[in-house]
Amino acid sequence: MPPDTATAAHVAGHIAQLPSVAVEFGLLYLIPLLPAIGAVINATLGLKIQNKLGKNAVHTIALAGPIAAFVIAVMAFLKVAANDEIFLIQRMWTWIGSVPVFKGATLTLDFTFAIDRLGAVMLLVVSGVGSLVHVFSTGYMKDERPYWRFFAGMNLFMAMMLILVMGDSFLLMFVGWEGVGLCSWLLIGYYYEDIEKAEAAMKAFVVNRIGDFAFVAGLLALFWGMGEAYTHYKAAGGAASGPAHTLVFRELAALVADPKYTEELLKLQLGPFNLVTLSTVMFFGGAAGKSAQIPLYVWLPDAMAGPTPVSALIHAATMVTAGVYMVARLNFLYALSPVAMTVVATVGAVTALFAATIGFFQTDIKKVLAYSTVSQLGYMFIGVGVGAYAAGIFHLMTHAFFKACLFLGSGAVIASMHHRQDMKDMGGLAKHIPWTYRTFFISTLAIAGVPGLAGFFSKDEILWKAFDNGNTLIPGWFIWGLGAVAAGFTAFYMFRLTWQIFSGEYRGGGPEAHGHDAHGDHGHHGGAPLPEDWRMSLPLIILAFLALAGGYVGVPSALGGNDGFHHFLAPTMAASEPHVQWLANGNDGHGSGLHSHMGEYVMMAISVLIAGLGILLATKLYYKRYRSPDEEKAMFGLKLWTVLYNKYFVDEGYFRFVIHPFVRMCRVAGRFDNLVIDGVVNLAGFLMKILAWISGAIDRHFVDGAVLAAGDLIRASGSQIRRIQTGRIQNYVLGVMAGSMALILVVILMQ
Amino acid sequence: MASTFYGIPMEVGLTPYLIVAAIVFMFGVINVSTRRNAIGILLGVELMLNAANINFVAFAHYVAGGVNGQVFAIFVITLAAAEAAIALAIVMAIFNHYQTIEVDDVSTMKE
Repeated sequence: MPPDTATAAHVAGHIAQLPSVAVEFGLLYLIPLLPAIGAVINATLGLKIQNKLGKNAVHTIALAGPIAAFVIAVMAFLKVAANDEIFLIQRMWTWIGSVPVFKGATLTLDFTFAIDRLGAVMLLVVSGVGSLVHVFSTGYMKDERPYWRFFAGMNLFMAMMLILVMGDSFLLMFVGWEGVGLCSWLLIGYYYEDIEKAEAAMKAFVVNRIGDFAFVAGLLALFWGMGEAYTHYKAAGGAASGPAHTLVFRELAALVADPKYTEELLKLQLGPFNLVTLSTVMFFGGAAGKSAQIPLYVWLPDAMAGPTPVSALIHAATMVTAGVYMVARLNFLYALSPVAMTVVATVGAVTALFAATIGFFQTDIKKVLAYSTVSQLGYMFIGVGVGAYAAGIFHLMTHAFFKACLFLGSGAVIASMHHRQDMKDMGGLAKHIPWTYRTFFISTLAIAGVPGLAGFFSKDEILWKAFDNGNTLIPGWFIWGLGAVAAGFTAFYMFRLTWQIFSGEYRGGGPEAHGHDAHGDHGHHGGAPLPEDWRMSLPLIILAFLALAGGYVGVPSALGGNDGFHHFLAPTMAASEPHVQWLANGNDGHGSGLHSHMGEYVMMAISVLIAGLGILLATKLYYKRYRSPDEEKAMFGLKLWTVLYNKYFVDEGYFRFVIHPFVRMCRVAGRFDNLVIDGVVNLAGFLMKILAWISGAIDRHFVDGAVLAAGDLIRASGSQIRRIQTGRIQNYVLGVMAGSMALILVVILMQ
Repeated sequence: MASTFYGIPMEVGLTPYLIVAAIVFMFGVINVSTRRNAIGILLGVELMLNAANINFVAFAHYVAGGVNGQVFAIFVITLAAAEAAIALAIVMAIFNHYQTIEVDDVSTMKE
């Protein structure tokens, strides 16, 4: 795209610039600190508080932090929203001071929080949805004994997630990144007495470690590259000053914005790979772990072992979107590498489709939502992969609304169902929990992409950008196709889920029904659905409203809107803008007039049509009609059902081809250890023993002998000599006299 | 220099003094080495000290000049007095303990 056309394509005539004016904002540190204080209080004194003052005191402490953080986040948001040239910053202290790195260069890093518009959107989502989930939890978790432990974990999670979002450097983001991983582990394993749930927590942690390893490796590669590129850049007469090695996002973005630097950076090779491609793909490895993408998605469905609010907050709305956020944050690097963009977009598209199909026949309502989350995260990666970073973040935001609503709704269902999660016990719940039904239904419409709701705007933005992109190495229509089919599948399984839960007749049975309770010791065994609790309904209603209306911040120009969300985030994506190519409508996807929007309308119509088909099929099959797994097997074919229900046997495959070989290798290594290494060590020990015995013998016979002989000699001579000591004074006087006489004699004789 | 008193020369020279001192010293030594009585031994020691005093004074007068020798003699007398006081106190203590001052009987340090 020639630059003059690109400029002309800007409707607003405004070329986005990186926000350049740093504004000190002294309250930023409170955003993570307040939830952290709540976490510390509840973690250390929570049990005492709960026993002495009751659960109200526990959740009052726990709610205060996130809500206060939300208020400050709104203040921060308003500041950056008012002016697109500023970003907020608060420097806390010097974290790493002039540490020598490669080739005599030094690294200095401050512990700094920074908020630009991208961060502000994330802040609002995390603290807003987080606060709502906290409110919901006060109802959902009310019968749990370790109430304080739950809220301590949730508050710590909030603190870590906010650090992740606000950290202005790779390192600080990584602190939050690992912190949320820890909290995820703590909260998935909340019911740690149950070995399966504890194992799910371990699985999440270990799988994430694999991704994190890739992330760190990528960072090291990039860090090395910075020094090399900077040297060449300076040699070529580069103008920028400042350190060669930087871990601060905006400093790196400013460097990359200089075409000369970019040129040098792109020249670097690490082995057979281009350095930028290698490091961004490695970063994406970390994102795939955290955001549950192929091949590291397997932990997320198992993470549903945690309490439902945890699933809603951590495993749907916030933590799992950290990978998307990271890619969007590093847009200026990803945009440089078509290979990395292709990898991200393709993995996202394939994951979106793949996970959607697994959602078809799951019977555990939380499992359906879990695969739905994996699938929707795939959409976000399509967005950030094809270069539509704002669209990816837009979907991240709307998804946070409707998926949190769906998960909390499923939590309300589970609470009403006496903690049963299988849809065979449900049905007809619309009558019993009407507000849950209404909100759940709205969110289902939103995720299915029904026009007018939040999910429609964000998903179609992504799909259109995927179709329109000129960045990925595989054609855009292919990615679009995968995404559009996945959209139909999404509509299908979501409506199946909704109808199975809420329509028809209640199947949970009366008080005599027993035995399907996930919490056998919980005191509830079946029975009629419990009524709703307002503490759970209120957050649902707020989230459903957001799922309904949240999309209107980013109505595309094709539909008469002004692409508000895109323009809002444009400054933060400015460094990548020159490298992102669009096919149809100029450089940022805006044309004017009906003609340039034709393609967009067609694509939109097709995807709405596909989604409509999914909705119709699901309604026809499942509305007011329960279909047991046996029935579904007969209807869809046993093979298809088995493969999908068992998630393509991926877990089994991992066990067979990764974990078991690994364990076998460990065993072989263990045996090698036992036989060879231990053998060598034992032999060495035996030789030492012989040597020691010889040395001991020498010691006993020769050294000791000499010492004893000296002692004996002295004692024998002493017993002789002491006879001189008579004790008679006259003898001594005689001795003195004799001695003096002798001396005098000697003196006389000497003369 | 050579003054006489009724024909007897008053200046006898150094040698007679030394002879007297040697005799007194020998008495002291014999006393110390033969007496078994603690007080007798002390008497012998006093004799030896005074023999040395005679030597000091004689040498000062005939050889060295000045009063250093006399001063030393006075020091020795003082020292002897102190020594006698301490030694007699020890003898008293021994007597109180053993009911004797025969030194042969006071030999418990041996063995």
